[in-house]
This record gives sequence, C-alpha cells and structure tokens, in this order.
Amino acid sequence: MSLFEMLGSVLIGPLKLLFEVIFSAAYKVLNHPGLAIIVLSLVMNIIVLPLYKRADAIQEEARDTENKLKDTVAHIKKTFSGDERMMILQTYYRQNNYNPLSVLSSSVSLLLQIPFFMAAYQFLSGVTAFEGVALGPIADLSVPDGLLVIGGFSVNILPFIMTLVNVVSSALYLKGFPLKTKLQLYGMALFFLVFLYNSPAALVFYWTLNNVFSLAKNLFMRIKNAKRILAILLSVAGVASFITGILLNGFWRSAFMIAVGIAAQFPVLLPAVKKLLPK
Amino acid sequence: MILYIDPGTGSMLFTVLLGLIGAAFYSLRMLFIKLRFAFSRGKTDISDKKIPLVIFSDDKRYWTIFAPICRELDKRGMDVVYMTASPDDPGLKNKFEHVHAEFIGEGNKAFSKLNFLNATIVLSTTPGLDVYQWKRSKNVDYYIHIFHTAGEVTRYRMFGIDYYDALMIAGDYQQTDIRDLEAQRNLPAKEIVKVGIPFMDEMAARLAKEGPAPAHPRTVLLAPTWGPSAIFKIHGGKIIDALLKTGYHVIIRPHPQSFSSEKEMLDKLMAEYPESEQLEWNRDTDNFDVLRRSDILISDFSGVVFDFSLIYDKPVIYTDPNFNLAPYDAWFLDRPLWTLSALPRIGKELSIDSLDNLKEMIDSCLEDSRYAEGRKEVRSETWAYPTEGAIRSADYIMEKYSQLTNKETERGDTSVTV
Repeated sequence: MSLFEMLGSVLIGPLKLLFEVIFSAAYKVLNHPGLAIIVLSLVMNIIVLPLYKRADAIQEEARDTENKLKDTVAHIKKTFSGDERMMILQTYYRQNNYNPLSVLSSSVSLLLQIPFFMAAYQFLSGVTAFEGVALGPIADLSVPDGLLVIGGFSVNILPFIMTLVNVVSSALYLKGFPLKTKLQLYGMALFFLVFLYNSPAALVFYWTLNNVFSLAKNLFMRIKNAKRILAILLSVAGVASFITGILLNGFWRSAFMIAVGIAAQFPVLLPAVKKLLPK
Repeated sequence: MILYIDPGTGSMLFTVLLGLIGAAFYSLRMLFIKLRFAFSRGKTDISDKKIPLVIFSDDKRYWTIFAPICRELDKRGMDVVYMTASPDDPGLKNKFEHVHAEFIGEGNKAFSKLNFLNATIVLSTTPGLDVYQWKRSKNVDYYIHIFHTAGEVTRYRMFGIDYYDALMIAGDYQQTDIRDLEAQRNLPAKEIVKVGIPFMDEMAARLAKEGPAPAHPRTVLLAPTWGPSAIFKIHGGKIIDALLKTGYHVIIRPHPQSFSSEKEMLDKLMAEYPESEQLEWNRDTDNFDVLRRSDILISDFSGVVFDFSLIYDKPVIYTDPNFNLAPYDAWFLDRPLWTLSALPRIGKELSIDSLDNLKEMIDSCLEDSRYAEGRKEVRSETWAYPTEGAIRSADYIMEKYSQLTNKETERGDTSVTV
C-alpha cells in the first residue's frame, strides 16, 4: 500500500465508519435512503462547523488588519523599490504585528475539514441502497437525474440547482470582497457544474444539501441575532419532530423523533435557564 | 469528485492558497536579501570584551559630528572605539589618546560586524537601525542617535530612528515630532536628551577664531541637496545660467551624496558649465572655507542652509519648497515641516519664474536687515545650548554608561549572548 493509501485508510476509514453508522441509523428511522442523505449532510456539516468558524474568524481578522494597513502599504510600494521597499514594508508589518504568513493559521482548520468531506463522499459512492430508489421527481438516485428532456436529449437538472445554490451562497459570503475574489469563486462553481454533471443523483443531492447548509450559514452570519433565530427555528423543527414522533408507528422510530424534539428545545430554553440560576 | 467541498470552505481555502502564494513570494524575496547579505559580509567574530562606547560612522563626512564629542570624552578619560565604514575617514588619523579608530569595511561588511558587536553604548548618526541591514546587536545595551543637520528629525527615510534607545536633540519641536510618531506607531518611548548641536558649536568656534574671510568680490554659493526634489533635478542648468548672468563670483557645491547617487547628472552639468574665473565647482570635504567666503547661499532643502544662516549669520535664498515627503517619517505626520516656517524668516524664496530677477533678489537679501532678527529667532528654536553641545553630549553619554554598567554589576551579569 502506498503512503497516500495508508494515510487515507487511517484518516478516512474511521470517518467512513462514522458516516455509515449515521446513515444506517437515519435510514432505519426514516425508511428512505434519500432522506437519510439529508441527515448525513446535516450531521457532517454540524461536525465541521466549529472548524469552519475558527478558520473564518482568523481570516476575517487578517482581512481587517490588511484593510487597515493597505493605504500605507500602497504608499510604501509606490515610493520605494528593490530591497529597500521590502525592508521598509517588513518594518511596517512588524510595527503593526502583521505577518503575511498569518493566513496559514487558518489553513489548518480548513484542511482538517477535508477528511470529513472525503469520507462522506467515499461512503456515499459505495452505497448500493440507492439503486432504483426514487426521491420526489428523481426516478433513480444511483444515476444522473435526467429530469428535463429536450428533443432527444436529457438534461440533468439537479447539478444546475446545486450550482445555483452555490452561486447564491457565494454571493452572500463575498459581499464586500474585491471583484477578483468573486470571479474566482463563481469560476469554481462553474467548474464543479461541469465536472459533477454526470454524477449519480444521490451524490449531487448530497452536495446540493451541503450548499444549502452553507447558504444557511452565510445567511445567519449576515443576520443580527443569528443565534436567537437559529434557536427558535430549531425549537419549531423540534416541536414538529415531537409531534411526528407521537403520531408514528414503531417504538424506536417514535422514541427517536420525540427525543430529537425535546433536545431541539435546549438552545432556546438555555438562556432563560441561565437567568434563573443564582449568580 | 473527492475534493468537492462547500462554497464557504472552498472560498476560504482559495484565500489561503492565494495568501500562501503571496506569502511565499514575500518570504523568498526576504530570503534572497538575507542570502545576499550573508554572501557579501566578512567574518564575524563575537568578542568577549565589552567595549564601553562605540561610535559608528557610515561616512567620512560625519567625522565633524563626532570629533567634538570624542575630544570631550577623551578629556574625561573615557575609552572610545571609533568604527568607520570609510577607508579615508579623517577620524582614522585622530590624535586622541582614548579614541581608537578602525575601518570596519564598507556596506554589508561593516553592518555584519556591527550586528554582532559587544559594547555597552553605540553612538551613531546613521538612520535605519534595525530597518535595513544594520540590526541591533544582542550584545549592545544602548543605541544613541545624534543628528547631523539642524531642522526637523522627520526627514529621514521612514522608521529611521524608531529602533534607537535615545536621541540627542536640539529643539523642543523635535521632541514633539518624535513623541507623535511613537504614539502613532505604538512604539515605546525613547529617551530624548536636549544637548544642542556640537558640530555647529565647533564651526562657530572656528569662525570666531579664524575671523571673517578676506575681502573679496560678491560671491554666491549654490549648494543644493540631492534626490528627486533637489534643484538640479527640477531646474537643471537654468539656475547656473541665471547665476552666471548676475556677474557675481559663483561657487557650486553639490551635496556629497550626489557624487555617488547622481553621478551622471553631475558629470553632464560639469561638462556643460566648466570651471572658469567666474565659476568654481567645489568638493572640499571641509565646507568651512567655502561657506566663509560666500556672501549668500542658494539652496533647497539641504542642511547647509542652517549651517550658513545660523553660524555664518548670512542670508539665504531657497528654492520652491515643494518638498516631496513621500519617503520620509514626515509623511506620517501630516503637518507642515518646521523648516517651512523657518525659511521665510531667514531668507527669500526663489521660484523658476523669478530667475530673471536673481541679481536683484541677491542684492536685496544682502541689504535687508530683517533677516538678522529672523536668524536670532530660528537659532533659539533649533540650536539649544550653543557652545555647550559637546559637553552636554559627553555628560549624557558618561551618565548613561555609568547607569548601564552599574546595573550590570548589580545583576552580576557580564555574559555574552550568542
């Protein structure tokens, strides 16, 4: 086995197992592999959320410092040349506690997310349970959706939906960024559209869900009182889950939904509980 | 597609990638600079013996700055090592008993020796400590800066004095500028000591001793600074034409730095306007004589304006002070230079349009008495403690030395950091 493969099996292997457990449990409860994908995507994104938030915080700080310094940096670059310019720039950075290499510290958090994404994909690629299974208008999750038929050609719609969500999510995230960065991201979105066009619908659905989660993340980052709103939404979803659990047949399924419904009330109740506790 | 990730993470990874590329370029460039430095320097031995005071001069023209201080320290028996980067520095031939002079090589060779120096105090007039190749040595306890011109201290290239421990100044407005820059840059407060201007004291003493120049025809001295804002860069030979037209004796004394940084331009001018009975090109290291036998000085932002005006007590004509502050500390302060307030009090402004009236301007300057009053005022603002500069400098240096060595004795610390 090559080093790469060894690394792969050490890092990805356990994660694949974890996703298999989550997927299987969700499949059992919800009785539909398509819906289990939703659970898998949700769980995976929740797991990597702290890493994402940390990386974002580091990058935002670096961006803020760069913004603060950019006028003088531009002046220095315009005024000096050669070695002198480098040394004056370095002195200015030093006085402002800025290191151009600081962006690297955010990369650790980002790179840590990759095994999760890779494991989820690898796992899903190997699932045979999608064959012949339909989800809504999609006839077979194990092949491209082919939902639109024009003339003799079938067009896969799901990749376009995925890209649309991707673009909207990127647009929201990049508000205030320079045009260059925006174009790079839209370029990436287009790239993925082309490359993933012929993937099985289950996978494209999974990625679309990731994009939806990302969009929700970006929405909440822009909205004030995001935590509060999120807690309320979760509470509402929890109530729905609770009611569904009471109405469902099957002990374990019901118990699961009721437990989820109760757990979902914690974020909204916690601040109230904290207030009541003695200081 | 095994690496597909969500847009947010994707964009962040992209940022990281771009940042990495930018940082890699930056680091590579800095590495090249360090490598070039490493290859161009000489041997560097770290000495066990701690030198009490090192005076570092990066150019022979600064011997006049240090000579009076050396003399004063020598009188008091303080051991000084004078390190110069000029092989023909007059300081190398000094006759002081306690001042040992050495030529430490030029450019990076000199700096690499200084970067590992083992000394209690280093005194210098060179800006850019810890900015360029000259770094603070781990085994030097204190760096003191003395200025080599009168006027504001903010006309060094950016950050020039930031990493010194102490500055010896000659005017309160200088202190204000220093403190404002420190506040802006979040730098610790440096020690500021008002001592005066030793080299100007020397020139004044010498002038008093040797007396005025013998009688001579009216003589105009053109002594510009160097750089993009200087007279020759902006007006070329037009000003020399106008001077020759006045019929007066003309001495042109380019700034010493021009001869290395602007050699081509100077060679061209010297060929176009060769020496004659009326015109002299002067390169004397010692400007005493040329300043003494000139009746009026035309200059731009050169420090010689204050030497001439405040020591020799004669009027000046200065050109459009469209001084480009871009590379200097002054750029960060966003307020008019002190020099701009001083110049109109000691002389007249010459613009390119008034070149035709140069002779009248020269005559009127020499005959108007208001500039004498102006000179008195400016002198008091920028030349503290006249005649006492060297004494006060030596006082401070010795006090500091005693302070630092007592601290070391208390700590029992005479180790060398490597």
